[in-house]
Amino acid sequence: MTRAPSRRHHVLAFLVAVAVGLTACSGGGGKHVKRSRGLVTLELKAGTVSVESAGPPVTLADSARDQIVTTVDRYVNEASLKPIETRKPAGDLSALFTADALARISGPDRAVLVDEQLPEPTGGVTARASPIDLVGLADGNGAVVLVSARVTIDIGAKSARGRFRVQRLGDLVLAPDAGGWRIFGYDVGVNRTGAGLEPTAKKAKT
Amino acid sequence: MSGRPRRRRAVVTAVLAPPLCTALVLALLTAAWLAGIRIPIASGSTWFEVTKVGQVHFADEPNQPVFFLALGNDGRRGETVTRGDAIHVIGVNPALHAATILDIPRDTGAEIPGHGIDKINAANAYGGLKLEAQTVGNLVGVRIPYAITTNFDGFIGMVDEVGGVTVNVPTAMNDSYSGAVFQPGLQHMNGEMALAFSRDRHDFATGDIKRTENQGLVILSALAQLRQQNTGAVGTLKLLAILGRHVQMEGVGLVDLYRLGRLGLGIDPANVRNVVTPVESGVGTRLALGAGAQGLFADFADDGVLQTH
Repeated sequence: MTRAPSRRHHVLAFLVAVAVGLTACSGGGGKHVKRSRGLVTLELKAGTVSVESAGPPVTLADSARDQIVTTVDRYVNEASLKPIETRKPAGDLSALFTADALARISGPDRAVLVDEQLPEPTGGVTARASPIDLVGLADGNGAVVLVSARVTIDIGAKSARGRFRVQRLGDLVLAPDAGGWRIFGYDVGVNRTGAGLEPTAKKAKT
Repeated sequence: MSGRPRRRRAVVTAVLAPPLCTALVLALLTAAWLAGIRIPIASGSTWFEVTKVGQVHFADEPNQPVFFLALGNDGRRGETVTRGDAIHVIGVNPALHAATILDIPRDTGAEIPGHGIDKINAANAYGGLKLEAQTVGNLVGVRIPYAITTNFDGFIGMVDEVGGVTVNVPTAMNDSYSGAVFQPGLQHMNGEMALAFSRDRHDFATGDIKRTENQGLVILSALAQLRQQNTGAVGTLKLLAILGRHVQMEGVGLVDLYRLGRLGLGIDPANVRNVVTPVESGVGTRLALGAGAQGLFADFADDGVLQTH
């Protein structure tokens, strides 16, 4: 299964790295980190919010915005940060994804969306995230049916072999589901580099 | 590539590989451009209709092929009963990231459920999109869950809204009936011009067959253009907001269109074939399926992609 990184992968890796670096370090971004029971967790916040409407002008309700941010926050922590820190497989993500999306991330897309089987961190875990910019789509009746959430995450850690880094950039698309908002689709790239890792740059979209 | 007798005309591949996709939405929508069918009133002028005509939903089996009917009808403002003059079945294979536009000449004879054998485009007049999709699906041997249709006004509005479409015109055209006057080569067309290009059949020895192929070419060109302009999730949402003002949906919603759009965007236009169903003289003005048609259908139906044609 191991393949030499192609030129395309190098380009993707470069683009993800540059984009994450620029975005995460730009104004309004920065660290949203807190420690909980010894683990580092990210505390994501909403950035700009807008709605493209096929009907009358619409704004995204604060409650919906907060639910969306909560879902994305849980995804980042449960599917990325926690598996990196604990080196255990991600837990049950069914509350965060729609059934279709969950089926997809049980397949090849999992390697892009979930950070598992990375080197065991010995300390120095850092995490940065930009505020999540939200763009909604409203139907002709003014109901917001989809929302795209731009994620820009940069996680670093030290392992016995040195430091490694995981950068993730892209859009999660969320839809109302079961009384909340769940991840319905995605267009995300991930770049993993550093000691003990084969450089990987992968992208998944639905 | 053109000019062969109808009876021998087999698969015609579009000169351009331009595109499929900016979204199936595009695929669907754009495809819908071609024809034109009834145009009800939505939040703005209605450019096209998207109808769920079957039970299959491609999201249920993401790696299975999915088939769409793109129908351009001959409806003009105020007309309620129309015929499907541009008939295209689009097969998309998400796993292979490839697709096929199968063009069906409108005069092809087919069994229309409940109405006997007639020209395939009559199904739309008899029973609307669902009957047309059923008829086409039976002929080709595929299950069609979604259909998109547009009429003349809708087609023009859609093309103009996206800033026109650039088409590589295969041969010179000068037709007073359709208004198509083009030199060969790349031509940027507004809605009126694209409609004229899509309607011209008098400039070709093979008449409607060449016209049908040209319609597929417009779909491909439009899809390629849309894909270039708008490839991300946010871009798709913005496009849907525009299109959503001009679509009438039955059994589907914007979320379905998003899925379809993303499906189309995932396919490189270079991996899309545009093929005309071979036909030959039949009874009266009806055309019969030509040699190789059944083999073409079988090749198309198994996975939406042509391997042997």
